[in-house]
Parts: sequence; C-alpha cells; structure tokens
Amino acid sequence: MAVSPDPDIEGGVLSDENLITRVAAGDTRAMEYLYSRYARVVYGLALKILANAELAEDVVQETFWRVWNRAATFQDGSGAFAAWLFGIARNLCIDELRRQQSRPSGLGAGSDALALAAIPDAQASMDEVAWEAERRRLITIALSELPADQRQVIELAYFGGLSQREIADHLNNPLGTVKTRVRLALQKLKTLLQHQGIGLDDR
Amino acid sequence: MIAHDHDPSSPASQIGAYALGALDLEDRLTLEALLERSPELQEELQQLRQVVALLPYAAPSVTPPAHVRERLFARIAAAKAESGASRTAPPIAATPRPRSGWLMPGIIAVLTALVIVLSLATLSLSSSIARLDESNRELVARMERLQQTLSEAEIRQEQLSAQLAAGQEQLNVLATRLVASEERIARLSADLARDDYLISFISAPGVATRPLRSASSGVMAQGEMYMYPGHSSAVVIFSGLPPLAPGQVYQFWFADENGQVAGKTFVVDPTGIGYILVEAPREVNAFREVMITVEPSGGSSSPSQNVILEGAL
Repeated sequence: MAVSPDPDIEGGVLSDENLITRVAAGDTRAMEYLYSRYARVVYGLALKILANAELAEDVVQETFWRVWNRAATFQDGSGAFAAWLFGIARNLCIDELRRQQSRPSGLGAGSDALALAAIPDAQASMDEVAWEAERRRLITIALSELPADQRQVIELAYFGGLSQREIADHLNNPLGTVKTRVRLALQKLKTLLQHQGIGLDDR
Repeated sequence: MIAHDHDPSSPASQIGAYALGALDLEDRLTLEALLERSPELQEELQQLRQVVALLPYAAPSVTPPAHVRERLFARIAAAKAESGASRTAPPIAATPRPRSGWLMPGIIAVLTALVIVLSLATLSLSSSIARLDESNRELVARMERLQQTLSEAEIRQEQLSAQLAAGQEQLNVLATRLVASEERIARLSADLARDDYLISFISAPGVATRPLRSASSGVMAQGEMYMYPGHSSAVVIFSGLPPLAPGQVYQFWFADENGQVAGKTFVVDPTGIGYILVEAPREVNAFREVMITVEPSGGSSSPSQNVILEGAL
C-alpha cells in the first residue's frame, strides 16, 4: 500500500521492530506501514491454507487487529516480528481449518508449484515488492532443492496444520520416518537459506 | 546445529517440528521443559523459527481487497476514539463490505442500525473470546509450570533413588565384610580356646610325658606325648615331620598286645611343627606303645610299614 511519506518513518526505512514499537505507542501510521509490508504475504498464506477468499480476508483483518492490540506484548528480537506475525496468521488459519474439519484441496499434490509468481500490488512501494519477490525467489529455490518426501511433510505440517502423528496417519508412514523427514527438511532449509545469505533479520 | 540433533530419539531432535508447529502435545510439553533449561536449544529454535517464518513466502502473494484494510483501520480508529489515549477494550467498528447502489435510504438506515447492533454483539462476543483466550493462555502457562515442576521432581526422585541404591550397595559390602570378620573372629576364638585347653592340659599337675622318636633313619622328627594315667585323652606335640605328597596323611596309632587301634589323621604345614589332641578308646596307660605312620588320604584300618615316629608308654 502506498502510504503517504511520514518524515519520521521515512517510507519503509524503519525496521519492523521500530515500527512495532511505534504501534505499541498507538501510532496508526506505523501500523499502516506494517500492513503495507506484510498484508500480501498474510493474505497469500491464508488463501493457501483455507482456500477461501472471505475467510482469508477475515484472517488478514484479525491478524493485524491482534498486532495492533498486542504490540506492547511483542518481545523484540532478531527477525522476530515476521515470525510473530506469521505465527498469529497461521494459528488463526489452522484454528479455522479445524473448525471446519476440512483440509484445503491439493495438499501434497501441489507441492511442486508452491510459489507462484507474485501478483504485484499497485499500492505497494517498489522497495516492498522487490524485497518480497527476492524472498519468494529464495525460499522457492530452497524448497525445490528438498527431496520430494521432505517437501511434502513440510507442506502438510505448515500449510495443512497437521501434527507429525497426523502426517504419519495421512501418508500411512511410520511416525519415526515422518519425524526424521521433518527434522532433515528443516535443517536442510536452514542450511540452504544460510548459504543464500537470507534471514529474517535482514530487514 | 547442536550436537543432540543427531540423535533422532532425543526430544531435542524435535526442535524443527516444534518450530513448525507440528509437535503433538506430549512431545511439545517434553520439549518445552527441555527448552527452559537449554540456552543452546533456545538459540537453535530462534534460527529455525526464522526459517519457518520464510515459508509464507512460498504461497502465492495476493493483495487483499481494499475493504479489508479499510475495515481494519476503521476498527482501529474507532478503538482509539473510544478509549482516547488508552488502547484497551477496543470496540469493533467494521466497515461493511461495498454493496450495490440499489438499496433505498430506509433500508440502508435499517441495515446501519442492524450493523450497529451486530457490532455491539460482536464486541461483547469478542470481549468474551478475549477473556477466554487469556484464561486459556493462563491455563496453558500453569500446565507448563506444573509439567516443569513434575519434571524436576522426577529428576530429583531419580537422583535420590540412585543415592539410595549406592547406599544400599555400600551397606551390602559392609555387611559382607562384617560376616567375614565375624567368621574370622569365631575361628580365632576357637583356636584360642583350643590353645588354652592344650596349655592347661600339658601344664596341669600329674601330667606324664612320653617321648616319640624317629623310626626312620632318614627323618629327623621327634615328638612328646602328654597324658594322664587313667584318662583317655592325650596331647602329642611334634616337630620335624616332613611334608607329605598329595593324597597322603599322617595317622596316629595306639598299640597293645592285641594289635593296633587307629587314631586320628592329620597333616602338617611346611614347618613340620604341630600338635594333635588324641582320644584313646580307653585309658591311655592301658596301651603299650604309640606311633605315627604315613597313610593314604582318609586313613587306614591297619598301619602301613612307613612308620615315622614311635614311642613306648
């Protein structure tokens, strides 16, 4: 979203942690910057999990509403804001999924086409779009380098909201095998992303 | 990566699944108890959470409709307006989704009133949900604290059990040593009692002595027999008895005009010095002579020709 320049905020130069500190003090402009920076990712995540636009919109609104209300409880840390924000969004999605007792279609089958081309946001600044696109490119590459069975358990766990035991039941695999795949997948993702020089604390 | 990640059975190896939100409750509680005690594991979790936080970028990016933003910031503005400087208990001030323009003003007014009523109801519901959510968080926190306390108590119990087992083992060793000491004391007491008896026997008034001399030219043995006329007991002290080959024993004999009467068998230590307490079938002075022979183990009913010591009574 193209937020009008704020002489204090300087158009997205401030870090997430600085912005959330301002939000905690009641700064709506800082909240707008955070929304502009992350709403597309949160909405995309919610659509991916829920496969329902209206529910995904509710998740976006509720996620940022909680950010506004709980900004003072946020604990600062390297790259912690995005993890915190996405954690809120994902939990809302998984709660909704469990309420519906249903799963989004295409789980597992579409794992090879995880990252589609980003849909440009006419209201977002070029910096935001470029930064987000770079992240998307790198995580897509990292995921594509995982073995298919490891990528599948990551998909089922993160986007499907399944526990390891549920994944084992879903795939009819031993629980130990699933645990090993999850562990190896996360470690490999971490290594790959570190080699690519990416981290959440980049911002 | 931390060292215990390599052990797939360790709770620490589940740190990735924990960061991913894919742990079952039991495993999660176990790992959280571990996390509280391990800064190294906390650091690993922080890194993995950063990795997990990149996964949303793998989903297609889609700009949410404009009304989502409008409703959100209207809600925020309403909350700010109502609470002033305070940002507590914000009301929901959701902006209705854009609708077609066919609605008549009257209907719009009714719908607006309905929205207000629903907003108030939603506010009340949100407040209840928030309280429930807070209550739930407190319960989870208390459960985690209880789990931690339980874990610590279990660790303490294991330590005490280990100490108890070590103490019990030490007690068993001491008891074994005590039994061995008691047995040794019993043997020493028996030896002492026998020595006392022998000393009193050979030093009592009226004791008679008879010498035993070597019966073999190649053996420099000798002995002394202490006896009381009219009694059947006697003590024989000897020296110079050569060590015997395996399977052989010395045997004491009484003899009279009717033949030899077998006495007890014995062996000697390498010094060749020793004594025996013998018991005759009748008073000792009824016999004419005594002797010591070499016999097979277990003794013989009649003496061999290998006589070592002999003496006349």
